[in-house]
Amino acid sequence: MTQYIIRRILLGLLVLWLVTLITFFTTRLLPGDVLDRLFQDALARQSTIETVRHELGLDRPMYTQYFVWMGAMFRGDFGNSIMSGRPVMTEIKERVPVTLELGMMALLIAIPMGVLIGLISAVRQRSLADYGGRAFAIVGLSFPDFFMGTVVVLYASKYLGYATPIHFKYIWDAPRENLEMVYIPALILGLRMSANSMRIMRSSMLEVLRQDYIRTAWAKGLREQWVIGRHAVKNALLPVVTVLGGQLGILLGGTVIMEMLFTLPGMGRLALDAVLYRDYPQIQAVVLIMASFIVFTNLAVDILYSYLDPRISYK
Amino acid sequence: MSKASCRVAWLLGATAAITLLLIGCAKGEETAPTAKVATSVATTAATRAPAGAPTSAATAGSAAPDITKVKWDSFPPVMQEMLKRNGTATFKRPDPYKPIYGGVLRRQTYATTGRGATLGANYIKVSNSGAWTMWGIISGNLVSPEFGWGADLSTGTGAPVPDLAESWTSSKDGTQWTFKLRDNVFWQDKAPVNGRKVTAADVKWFLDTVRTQGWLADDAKTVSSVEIPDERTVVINTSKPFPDLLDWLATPMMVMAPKECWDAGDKCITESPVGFGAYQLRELTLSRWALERNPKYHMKDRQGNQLPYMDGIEFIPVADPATRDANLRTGELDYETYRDQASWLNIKNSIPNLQLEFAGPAKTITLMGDWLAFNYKNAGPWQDKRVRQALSMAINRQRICDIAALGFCVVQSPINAERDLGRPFEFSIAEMSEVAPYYKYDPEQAKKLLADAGYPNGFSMEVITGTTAKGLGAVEQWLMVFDDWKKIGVNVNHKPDQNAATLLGGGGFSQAMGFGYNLSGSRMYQQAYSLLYSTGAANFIGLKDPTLDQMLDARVPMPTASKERQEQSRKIFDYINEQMYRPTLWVGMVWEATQPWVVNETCGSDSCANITMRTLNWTWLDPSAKGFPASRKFEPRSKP
Repeated sequence: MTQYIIRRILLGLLVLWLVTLITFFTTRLLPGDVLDRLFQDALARQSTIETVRHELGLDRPMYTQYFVWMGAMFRGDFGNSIMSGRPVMTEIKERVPVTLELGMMALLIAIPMGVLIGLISAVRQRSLADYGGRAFAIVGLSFPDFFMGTVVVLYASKYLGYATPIHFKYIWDAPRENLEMVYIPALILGLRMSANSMRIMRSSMLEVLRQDYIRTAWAKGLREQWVIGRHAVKNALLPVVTVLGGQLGILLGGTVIMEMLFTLPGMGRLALDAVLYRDYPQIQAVVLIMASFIVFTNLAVDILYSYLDPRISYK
Repeated sequence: MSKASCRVAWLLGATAAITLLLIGCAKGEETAPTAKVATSVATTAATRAPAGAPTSAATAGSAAPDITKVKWDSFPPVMQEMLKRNGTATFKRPDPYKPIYGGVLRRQTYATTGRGATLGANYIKVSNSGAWTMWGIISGNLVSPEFGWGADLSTGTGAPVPDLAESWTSSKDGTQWTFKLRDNVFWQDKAPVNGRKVTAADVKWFLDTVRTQGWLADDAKTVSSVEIPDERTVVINTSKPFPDLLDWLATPMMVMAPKECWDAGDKCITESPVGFGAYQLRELTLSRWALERNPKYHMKDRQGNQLPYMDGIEFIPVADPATRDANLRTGELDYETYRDQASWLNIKNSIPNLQLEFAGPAKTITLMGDWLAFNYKNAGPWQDKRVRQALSMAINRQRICDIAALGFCVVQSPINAERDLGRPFEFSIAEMSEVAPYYKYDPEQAKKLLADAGYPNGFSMEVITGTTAKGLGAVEQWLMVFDDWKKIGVNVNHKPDQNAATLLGGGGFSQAMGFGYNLSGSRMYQQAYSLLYSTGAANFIGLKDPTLDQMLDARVPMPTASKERQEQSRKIFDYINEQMYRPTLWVGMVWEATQPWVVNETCGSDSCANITMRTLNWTWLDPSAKGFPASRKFEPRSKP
């Protein structure tokens, strides 16, 4: 197992290196650059633009810029945001808690809801509960996050006279205000994720319930709770864990939209602003961090997998 | 092949042939615009006053039409109604004028988007309108512009009024200006200045820094030195008469920062601004820029009431339009601007109790225009003025304006209408067509001009446009222009480019560019000079016209707002309109949407960022107004 983990870590580092290469060069191939944004207010002379370009190191060959950036990164210096002038990591540190909170809350909603509804739906197959659960899943999967979010924002304001607060406060500063801002976007994200995991849970559970050992357990006269809870659920959870691990990447993408709609100053919004402004150091750092998160989360999911299913061992 | 198959094949072939025939016939017709407002366009066009026969202002021997009086009837009816209601001020003076003290205004601001907890680049070193927006209200200038709206200001000539300086004089030859500073102006009680007095040394340091290190150094070339005989007197010497000195000092970019802030590094200027304005920074975070009232502010209103009236202002970046509208609806936001008419119409219908007006007075309208740039360094048909005149006459500005902006547009004059031409508002498209014949839509005349210039069959031209504008100035509108040109034989190789701004600034376009934004920004007094003078700071098009240079040079020493200057400006206006060096197209109106409890607020928008949001000094909130959210209720405090 240790060897497996080490191997995965090394592979993960290789993946991250490729990510830096792709991010670095593709962003510089985008039309327009950050100077276009910096100088959009009043057109500057070419000499001024070139001076600033030189100061930012943007006049050097791309490969030079890449190696300089990589070297600085290994020393812990991710550079300064071109738009704000502040260290990139400062910008990220301020925003990571927001996205983490949103993501965690979404997961806390998605996992129990998806597992529970899927479980009930499978156990009570072809009942009203099953049909209701499946309808929930279809609706949840059909409506994209941005649609749900926009509908909620517009209808709540129009018919309920309600809008989520627009001044963000961290949870440790003002928990009530923080939760009031975050719970709706977390709910929307969580519902969407739970729809997916519900379907996986249901089909997985149905398959497990048809297994011989479950039939044996019924035959032995065990109570339903014991059969489902002790014997079936754990095995049915394996695919759900896999799917949830994969959904973390989608979650990160979904937070961008929710952060925009609900005025949350998170990583997703930072990433979007950075791309819009061609803020190269910011883009690189944000993408690298998100990629690291996905790579190492997937590793954690795989390790969890082996815990859930003792038959699985990594050699 | 069976008989049935033959019949089917024949039928299909006939159907295809008929279809092709119909398509071919349909191509010859002009396709109707697909705008939602097509019916209202037709109605508007039917009821608009006729333009009248154009007169050539440049015709020798004929009197130039008087342009000091605005022909209000020449505007589309939708605009007439609003202009007649408010005149050129966007909001009427509250009557009775009884300001209420207290409350916190909440505004959305684009200036913060993408910047996080910082104002972005140092506004003295680099152009940064987001920073002026904040600095303009946190600090002040030596002299300020008279905004011309708002209850407490007078008719609004745009002439500079006292701010830090309480009075000034100039020498007879116009090369020395002496400013007397107020004795009661203090920096805000925050590090690194900690509430000390603002003195002449502060002014000298600031002006010297701008002249030597600022991005406005070019504009300050005429200033030769700054002296401070005592701590309340500043003497500015100029190398030649500079009657526009006051305007230059009053521009938003000349908002003063303290030396200590500069010395502390860019962080002070970008993250902890401190000035002597009506509001001081309380908090600058990711999600909010919060200002609080400066208890030591030196200005009072004309009734002697202490300014400002409100306790604070919050600027909150709300990126999503749906969220902004939702927050307007629930009263969480007090203010929003709309640059495209469709959004304005939507908000007008969905939140009926909002106050909706044009943003700012006429003076700010010139900031947002669309125009054509030709590269005069390169050979091409545009070097012939008849070609430029033809291209201008071929554009149906009113039609495009009606489609893209519901008829709400004016034509950007190449000379500042209010300051230099003596008229209180910009030109309607119809009126401009009268006073400047090459603005008149006349494709037949345009073809004749092209033929005279040696292009009877037209020509091809590459045109670059930006890609980020919305409403008027968007790519779609330029495509309509190119369609108009096609009718006179000018074919455009269109190249949309996100990099348009940098391309223009660097002269990186080879033939022509369709561009939005008035390059002179808030330096309206320098409009024509900056853009068209052969060594003008914003002459990116490489224009060199000695005649125009002479005319502009002759105007420089003429006193501001004098009859002499007005006459000279009129000559320049006519000359530029004849030459069509930089054909201007239109300027769309920017809208402000304000909650009913916000009183006396106008042009505090990002669209007016180029002239600061200092008008908020005269704004107050009325908690008794309908719809004021209970969560934001406040007890008005007593007058200080």
